[in-house]
Amino acid sequence: MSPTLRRVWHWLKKPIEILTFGFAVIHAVTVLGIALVPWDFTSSPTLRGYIVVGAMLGAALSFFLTPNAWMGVAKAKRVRRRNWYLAAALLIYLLLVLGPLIVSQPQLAARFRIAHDIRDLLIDLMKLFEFSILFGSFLTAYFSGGAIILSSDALARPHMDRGAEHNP
Amino acid sequence: MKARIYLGVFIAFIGSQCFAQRKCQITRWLPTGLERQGGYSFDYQSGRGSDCRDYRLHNEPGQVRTPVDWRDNRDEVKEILFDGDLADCPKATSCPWVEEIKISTIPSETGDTALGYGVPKDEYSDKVGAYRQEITKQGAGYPPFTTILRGVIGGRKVKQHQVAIEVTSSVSGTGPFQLTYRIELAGESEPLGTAAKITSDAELLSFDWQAASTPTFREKLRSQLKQLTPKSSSLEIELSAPDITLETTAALVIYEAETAIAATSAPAYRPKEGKDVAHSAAGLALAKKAD
Repeated sequence: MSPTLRRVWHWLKKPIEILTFGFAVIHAVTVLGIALVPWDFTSSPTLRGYIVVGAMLGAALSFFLTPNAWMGVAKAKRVRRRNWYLAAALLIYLLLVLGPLIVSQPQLAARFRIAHDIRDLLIDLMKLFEFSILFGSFLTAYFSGGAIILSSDALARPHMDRGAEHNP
Repeated sequence: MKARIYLGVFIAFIGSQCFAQRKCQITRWLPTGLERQGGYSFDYQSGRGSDCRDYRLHNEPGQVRTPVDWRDNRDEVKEILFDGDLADCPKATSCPWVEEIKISTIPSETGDTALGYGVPKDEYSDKVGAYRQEITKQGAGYPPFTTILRGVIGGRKVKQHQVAIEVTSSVSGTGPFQLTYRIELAGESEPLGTAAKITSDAELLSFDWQAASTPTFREKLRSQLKQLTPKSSSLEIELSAPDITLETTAALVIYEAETAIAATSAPAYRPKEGKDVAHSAAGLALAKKAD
């Protein structure tokens, strides 16, 4: 195996070795939630597809990138960054995913002038609307997945074997 | 004010009925269909005459702009019946129809068609019964095709556009063939630019008849007329070609500036690739409606 391939392999293997099964499950469930909640607001196969694809890409990136980037960093710093990730995930989810989906509903547009105008804009800029959904799901999954991984204490002890703390 | 609106609607209705009788005598209408999913509410209907089919849709009062895509998705046909936005319709008003008429000798039958709507247009979908082309072996000869798109459609800059355009493709001769394209306003309509995607005026409408749109056709069209208006409401373009083909699926598209706001399939004969021969200038006829 070439040195480059070995580095990539090590990079991919590290999160799987470090993170416990519990954290991996929480990570997967969160991403599933991010992908499924908006299904109540749209029945469009196109938009649902964008949401799922965006969430899966964001989740995969956060799963591999976050442990590699934050391994060995002090807990206080990780907690600060986790809070920042959570706030970003929430804001992006509301602004880029749920917000546009809710505003595109005809009932809201019929009642409120501003919703009507925003909805018209979304119809006119349909490609941008679809991109907002895709990119919003991607970023939400990335930041929320990242926040979960940053909560793992395993990141502070990257060289310790899993369970070693119970067998001194 | 209200009386004036009612009078206008009445005159438009009478006008459209007279027009319809001249162009397409509908003998059978299927019952009006209602779509009521996700807060949307609009009606659709299809009818047929001896040589034509008619499709029409309109929003219910109080409804907002509704993107709609109605088509016949069978592999052999792939026909766009209407793809565009139904305009806003304020409460307590009558909502005008947008109508597509397809005149040809192709027989029709009842069957399923696909109606999608919402934001985006696949948000809700329904299989709806409508008159559609019957799949038969094409007979001998080259029957003419006429497509009419008229009514009120939703726009981007302007919320409602009044459009009425009719395109006809016919053929005479037996190699070389004489292709005749006739384009005219088919009732009350805003001016329609002949160059598609006009960028200079954001509110100006233009059209693109994609099935007929060969480079020679576009060149002739632009050189003859910049706009179809009530004063110069029709034009005719003639081309000759040694061999021709029939393009059935391409659409007649209405643009508001650079944005396509409505489309319906509009078949046309066109020269086979590489066999497009420009007709002499004397052969071009520009019909101008007398005042």
